[in-house]
Amino acid sequence: MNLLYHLRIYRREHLALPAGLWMLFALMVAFARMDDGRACEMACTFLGFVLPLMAGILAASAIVDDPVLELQLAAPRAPWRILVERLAVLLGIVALAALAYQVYLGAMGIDLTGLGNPAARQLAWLVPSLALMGLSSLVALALVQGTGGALLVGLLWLLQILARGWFVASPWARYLFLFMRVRYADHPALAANELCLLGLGMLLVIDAGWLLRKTERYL
Amino acid sequence: MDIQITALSKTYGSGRSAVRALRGVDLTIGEGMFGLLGPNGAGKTTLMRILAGLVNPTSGRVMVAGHDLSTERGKVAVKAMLGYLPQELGLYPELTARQFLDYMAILKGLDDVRTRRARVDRTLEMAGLADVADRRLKGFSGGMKRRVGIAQALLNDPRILIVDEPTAGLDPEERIRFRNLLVDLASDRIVILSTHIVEDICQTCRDMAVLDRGLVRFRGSPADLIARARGVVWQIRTENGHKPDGGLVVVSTLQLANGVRYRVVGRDASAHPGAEPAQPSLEDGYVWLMQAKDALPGGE
Ligand SMILES: Nc1ncnc2c1ncn2[C@@H]1O[C@H](COP(=O)(O)OP(=O)(O)OP(=O)(O)O)[C@@H](O)[C@H]1O
Ligand SMILES: [Mg+2]
Repeated sequence: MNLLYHLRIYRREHLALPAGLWMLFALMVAFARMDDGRACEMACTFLGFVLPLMAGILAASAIVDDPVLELQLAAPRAPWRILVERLAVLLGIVALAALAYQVYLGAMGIDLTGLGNPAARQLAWLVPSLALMGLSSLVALALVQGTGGALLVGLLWLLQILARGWFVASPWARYLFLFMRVRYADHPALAANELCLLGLGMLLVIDAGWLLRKTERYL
Repeated sequence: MDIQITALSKTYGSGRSAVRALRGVDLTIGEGMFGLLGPNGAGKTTLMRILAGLVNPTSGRVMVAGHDLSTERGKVAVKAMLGYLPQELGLYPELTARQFLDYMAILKGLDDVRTRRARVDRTLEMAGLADVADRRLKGFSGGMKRRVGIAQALLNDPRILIVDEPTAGLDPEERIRFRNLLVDLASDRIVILSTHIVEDICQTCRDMAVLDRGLVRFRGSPADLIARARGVVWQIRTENGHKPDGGLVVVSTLQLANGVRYRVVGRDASAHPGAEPAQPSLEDGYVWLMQAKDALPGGE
């Protein structure tokens, strides 16, 4: 029930943006269908790059832009629950977009086996989405400003794409590389990288929830 | 049941930009209407947010009905028996009044659908919103939004109701309605009302405090505050429109056909031969209190 209301009050762009991007990439794949390599490339771009970026940007405004935050925080419940519930709703939207897209790809006859078996494939969008959502909600709460979180996520995303060669080669940065599965699915450090990013994502969300305890900062 | 506030201080920020919003407040508040009066920046909202568990005090202690607000558990317990109407009330414009209240009721832990529905209907009625319950909030006027705010505060049938300047921006009729509703509610609970409209307090509260720059300047009944101004309120009529001076503070000014009538407070009006003593009102008492403090050495 509670989550249903969360969904309703999500400002329009929070639903329009995923839907719009979904449609755009569905069209692009349809046009590129003749060329199997390009179609697959586009599908990976949507799942592994576009969806996580969008999740990160939307997570930044999950809390700090809420017009009713004072009442939300005055309710007799732990403040971190607001954060977790909203991120869960957002993750649900992302998951829906990702899964629907894969069904669509199946119908179009586009092959994604390069990303692993159907279950492992989900990590391609889940891992970077979670990591970026954690980062952006933490930064947004630390700065008490949504744009700060979104901006940082955008910069990091761009940096990782531009310097992907360095990230993969570096003995430590490779564990923080967001796009391992979509770019280097057969890298030996793939499992460690995903585990590391998942753990980090969770840690960032926990930190963000902890920041929210000091409610007066957000009034 | 009561609220005990001891040596409460709150400083926002630190270093040179620090703002001392509360500077050692001691208050005990029992059942009934309690009025908190004070100028802008006095610390009223800060005090109310501390009571609502939203702001942590810098020092001091607050006990609400036996719960210590400095512990997380105490905070949740207090929030559960609290209704809070913030000074700046935000709403979700896309929801209808009923949906909004339903959502707030869920957040307040009214999990059972049938009790919740009954409670939402009841508060809609109490706040006079039954007719517009299914309209979207974005079409509501300022007064209607305030009503949604008070309805939301009443959802959990709170033992303690904290309302921060609820009558600001309401038309006179609406203000009277609102005040009456609060008085009704106060018959068996604590209602704390903050305002800078003296009249609101005068009409409703038996117990009140005046807060100024983080300090309690007065504590007692409105009648006590009025009594303080006895013998220092004057009416002065001037034909040339010269403002009375000599340590007198003008409370109100009335333009007459043949001059101006001033209502002033001050110890000594002998410089104005036409000055007539007047019956003090709460407003006079408030102005007298505030000007007496301004005259204190050190300018605190
Ligand atoms: N979050 C904050 N950060 C820094 N300073 C603050 C904050 N909130 C309030 N203050 C300062 O604390 C003082 C008391 O503010 P408060 O809002 O409690 O006053 P108030 O009595 O409610 O005033 P008003 O009648 O204008 O609502 C003011 O000087 C204000 O600038
Ligand atoms: Mg205020």
